[in-house]
Amino acid sequence: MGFRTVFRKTLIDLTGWKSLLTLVVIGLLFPVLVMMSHQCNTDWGLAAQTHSLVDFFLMVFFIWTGGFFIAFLVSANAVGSISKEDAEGTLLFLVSKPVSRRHIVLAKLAAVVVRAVILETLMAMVFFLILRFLLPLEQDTFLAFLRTIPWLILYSLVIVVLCGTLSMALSALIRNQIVAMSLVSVAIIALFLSGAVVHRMVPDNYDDYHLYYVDPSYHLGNVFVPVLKQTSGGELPPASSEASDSVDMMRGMNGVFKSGDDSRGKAGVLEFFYPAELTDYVSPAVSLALFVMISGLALGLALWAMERKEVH
Amino acid sequence: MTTSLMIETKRLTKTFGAFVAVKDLDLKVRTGSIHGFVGPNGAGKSTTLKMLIGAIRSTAGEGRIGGHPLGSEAARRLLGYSSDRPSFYRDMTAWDYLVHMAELSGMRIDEAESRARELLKWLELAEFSDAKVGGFSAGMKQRLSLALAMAHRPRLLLLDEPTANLDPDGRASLLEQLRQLQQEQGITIFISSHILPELEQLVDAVTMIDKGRIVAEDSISQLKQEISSNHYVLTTSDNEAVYRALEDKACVQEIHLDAEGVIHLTSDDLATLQDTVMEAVSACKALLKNFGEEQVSLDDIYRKTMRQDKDS
Repeated sequence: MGFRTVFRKTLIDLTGWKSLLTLVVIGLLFPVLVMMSHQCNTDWGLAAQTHSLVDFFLMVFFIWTGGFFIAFLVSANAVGSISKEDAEGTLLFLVSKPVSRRHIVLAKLAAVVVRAVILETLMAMVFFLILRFLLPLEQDTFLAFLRTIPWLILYSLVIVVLCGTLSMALSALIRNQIVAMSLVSVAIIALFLSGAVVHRMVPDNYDDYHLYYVDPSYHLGNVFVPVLKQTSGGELPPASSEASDSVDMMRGMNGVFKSGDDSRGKAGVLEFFYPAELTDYVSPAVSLALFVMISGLALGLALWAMERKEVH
Repeated sequence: MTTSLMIETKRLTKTFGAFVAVKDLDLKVRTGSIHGFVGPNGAGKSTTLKMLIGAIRSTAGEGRIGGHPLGSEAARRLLGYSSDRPSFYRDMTAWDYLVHMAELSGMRIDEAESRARELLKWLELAEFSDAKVGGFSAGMKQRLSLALAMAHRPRLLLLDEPTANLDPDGRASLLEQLRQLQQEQGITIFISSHILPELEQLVDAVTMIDKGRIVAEDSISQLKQEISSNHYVLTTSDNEAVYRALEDKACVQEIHLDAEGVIHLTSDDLATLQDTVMEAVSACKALLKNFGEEQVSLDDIYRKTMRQDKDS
């Protein structure tokens, strides 16, 4: 009963229509503006230009819609869920009631995750509708895109759960929201950009020293690979042999794709989205398991910290 | 531990670093009684209350609420807590708040709504049930805080300065309601307050605390008897002359004139004192108006106890 009540209250607090609509607009404004300003090569055929835009969409989803935007949003919500109540004094009432602290943490986390998934689904659907109007997609292609939504949401879920649990742990450990949010921000930036930094610092030793094992951005990109595969699962139009923005971007950010352009020019649907050759350091399932494990540890830390928390 | 005691602690101690907030507190509160908890600012009253509700953990010692360990869900199911500075979710209405808190404590929605209606009426907040709590006055917040504490029909109310923000009428009305609760429903009330004359009218027993230690505890009548047993008050037609005549007598241990000119005496030998007083009155050619045991108030007991504690 306590879990359900805290979950419902948190979800209602987070999911007002106004805030939801505002977030959908903010979440989509950047990708739409980027896509509108995206310059396709006019020498390409219509299909190639369409693919270029679709590819651009995947890049934007990876880095922004399902990436930075949702990561920061979830973190901001989760960081405040305990520490804000603690600072404002409302936590005292809550912990004096016969509801276990474990349920308080789990209910608040569940509400943050559910809200993020609702938001991501809404954004993905609105974005697809915008694509439908912007691009001369054929019905089959559009339906194929729609089928990618669950996969994109699943990818987002990895980010949401990871950032949610980490933020929840910091929220239970640190009363100062600014400090907690700063720490989460550093973690998010490291999550997305560590690969780029490592590649720049030791460009030739990434493979030799097996740095990919400890590179969170590599594992994040690796988790996104099944999404790319699913997106290009044979139902989308033929591939372009031109450069892929998502591949270029992911190559710059992490080690999912091999460097160089020796693998360009392959034919086929799959190759459009990643004409570059995939690295095979670690299976995507292992990367996913790693994120699940880190999330589990962070959740354990959040529960432990909440149990031991002194509420004044 | 005895089950006829609603609250029982043994050597309960709380330290914050080197600072000892509460030390070896042995508290006993009978089931169905109204028990006062008094002490100067910083004596450890709020810290004790927070240990009793499980918001903070004790450094040493143990305690039970209705036979259940402090902080356990079973203990929290028995108690309702109202803070001295209650904090609320500002954008919730009083009605939603009460229903939320009742549900949080395990009530079904229909039961919670019925309880909310009952409490709003009882605490004279019915006309504000749809108003947002953020706009409430301090007194209304205090009453709402009490309503929230009582939402799940607890058997024990832990009230920290419940009348602090109320006007005189509000205070009198609240005290009467607390008395009704005890008499009609047998609810145990543990009340911390600085307003001793009010507390005196309400409580059956009192515990006085200073620097984290209990300095006095008993029923009000017993404490009064202890204090007044050798304290006398004397009024004559010439108090100053009689005072001078008595101040160096062997049977008078302490003597002083108060602001109104009344003589206060302390003596262990009443028979000798009576003769000495009569002689002094006669020698001063004064008229005896009143000579009897001093009527002490809780305030007197408090001041005397604290003074003794300071001296020791």
